[in-house]
Amino acid sequence: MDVSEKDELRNGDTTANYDDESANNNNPPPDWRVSGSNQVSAPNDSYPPENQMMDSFGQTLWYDPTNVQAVGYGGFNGVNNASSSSSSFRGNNNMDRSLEMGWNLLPPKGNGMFLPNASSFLPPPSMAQFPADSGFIERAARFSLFSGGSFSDMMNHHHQQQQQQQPLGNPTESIGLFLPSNVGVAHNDASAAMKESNVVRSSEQGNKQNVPGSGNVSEDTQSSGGGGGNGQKGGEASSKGFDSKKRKRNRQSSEAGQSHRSQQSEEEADNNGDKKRNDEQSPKSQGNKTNSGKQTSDPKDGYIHVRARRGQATNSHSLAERVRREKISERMKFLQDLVPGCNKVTGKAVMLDEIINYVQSLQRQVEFLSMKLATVNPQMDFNLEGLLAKDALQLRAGTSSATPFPQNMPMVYPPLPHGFMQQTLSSMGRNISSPLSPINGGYKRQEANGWEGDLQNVIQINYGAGDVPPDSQAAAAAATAASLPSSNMKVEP
Amino acid sequence: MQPTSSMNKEFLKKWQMGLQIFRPSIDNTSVSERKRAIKLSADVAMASLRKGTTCWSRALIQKTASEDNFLVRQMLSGIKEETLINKKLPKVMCHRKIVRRSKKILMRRKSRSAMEEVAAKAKKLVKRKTQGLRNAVPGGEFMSNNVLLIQETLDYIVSLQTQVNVMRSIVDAAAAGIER
Repeated sequence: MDVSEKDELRNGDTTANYDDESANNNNPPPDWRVSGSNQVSAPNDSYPPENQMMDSFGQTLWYDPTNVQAVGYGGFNGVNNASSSSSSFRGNNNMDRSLEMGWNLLPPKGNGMFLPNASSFLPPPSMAQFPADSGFIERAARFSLFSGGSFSDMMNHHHQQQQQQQPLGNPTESIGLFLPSNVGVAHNDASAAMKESNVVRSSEQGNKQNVPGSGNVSEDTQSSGGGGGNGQKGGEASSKGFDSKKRKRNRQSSEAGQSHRSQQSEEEADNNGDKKRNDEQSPKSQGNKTNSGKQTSDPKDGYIHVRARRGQATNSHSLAERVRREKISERMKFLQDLVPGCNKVTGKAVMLDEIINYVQSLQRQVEFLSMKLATVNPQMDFNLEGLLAKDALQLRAGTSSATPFPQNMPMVYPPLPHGFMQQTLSSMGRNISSPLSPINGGYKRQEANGWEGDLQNVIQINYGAGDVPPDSQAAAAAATAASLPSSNMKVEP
Repeated sequence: MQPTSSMNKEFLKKWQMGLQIFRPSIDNTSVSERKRAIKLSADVAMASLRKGTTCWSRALIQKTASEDNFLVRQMLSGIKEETLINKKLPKVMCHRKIVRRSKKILMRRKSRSAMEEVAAKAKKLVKRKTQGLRNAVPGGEFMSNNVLLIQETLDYIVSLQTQVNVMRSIVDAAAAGIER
């Protein structure tokens, strides 16, 4: 019965992801693939009896990561859930976890090693049928929601339960050992992209997680597929690795978009109180290649599980450090875009220097502008009501972009990108009040010989299209009185 | 991310609101008084844009509150007090001489290679710069880790840019108005 099923599955293999693995022409991988694809809805509908769990598990295992990663498989969620939960049962936490990483590639070597073990896992005919008992679902849900203390208990409990029924106990273990390395190698190839998608997905999923034991197995296990998988380890490895695990809350969804500033700031508030823990690589994986990538998942308790990369220390401290370093470098990249003149600069110290200078110059500018405003307008009414009312007023900011910055303008501060000013202008376009009489073409832009002396020209040049008439003497006087760097800010292109 | 026009508008509104508070006491004729009023209301307006979600905004509000409590209370009537308090980080009091001496001994004990020395120096430099950044950004002392510091700096820079943009355009508009 099983063999015939195997043959069927073998023939039916059309999965694209594993086509790369030429070495995977063996039966088991195609079987898995096919079975996985066939079983898209299977876990939700019915579950194979527990003694068949290993088989189905073995098959579906490989699809977990792809499901989680949504790499190429559309509807493997159910499969994921079942397999991840089943994997936990079997104690193949490593496998599960590695699969969750969603690595497409399984190196031939890995597959080769896997095969002999996996062969024992060939799916039963009722591959598509998972045990329909609610107990299984409950257990799956419970496992999926990763919780430190209870996990090992649950695991042991299950392990005991399964052992009588499961003749394939040994292969399970070995597979459990083996998988992480496989996955790790594959993961390295796609780590970066995976990480991001994983992070985003897992964080989203983590947010959606429900109370454990809820009927929605697929959602739970999938969302915490990373979390559950991370938390679940092989029988002997579990207790050891489990205690030393660290988790980190992942709020990296904002990283996906630079524009999510408010989101970031909100997350910062959250991050303030976050616990930080990283997953520690299972020590068993040392035997293989200690491959792993970084996986972040956001289970209900807000932990992020990180895996050590290949060839790197798996010390929990270094893992945490590495994660933090990467976070910092990501944010520094944002800063590079923000702070003018930082594109060519490399290295933290110089960049930090630039940032400090920029912040200080902005602060000085505020001071200077407020002083100027105080002098210019003793009544302090500023026509602000008028400014707000005349919302529709469009400054010729748009045309200012066409104005090239005068080349003879000496710049003490690193020259700002050309777009800086025009963006400023366009953003402020609606706020400028009607008192500004638009001067179309008749504006004369005088060459600024020295920015010190000629604030009028500075102002004119700033508003390129010449909407602003020459500045008042008070402003000029104030400008000259201002400190050098802050005045320079006016000279922005 | 660059300041958006909506941010500018919001800031302008809040700033105006703050300035209104000073309107009755308009006879503070000295320039410095006016400048102070302008700057404080602008700062609070900038910080209130974030509504207490960022560390720097809270610290900035606290700073201005120490100078002008009334203004802050008026401007931030809608925000609860708790959100504005920054968690004070536990400060480790170290006797500097002892620390320095022990560091020297440690450095001597460790076997150094050329690369290590360079790396150590670079690390020191970075540490110094981050300390400088903490001083520059309001509330920097309350940011426990560097990641948070960089994030806050990002947000702070964007807010500063909006503030500067709005103020500058106001100044120019006012100046233009006077010209006529």
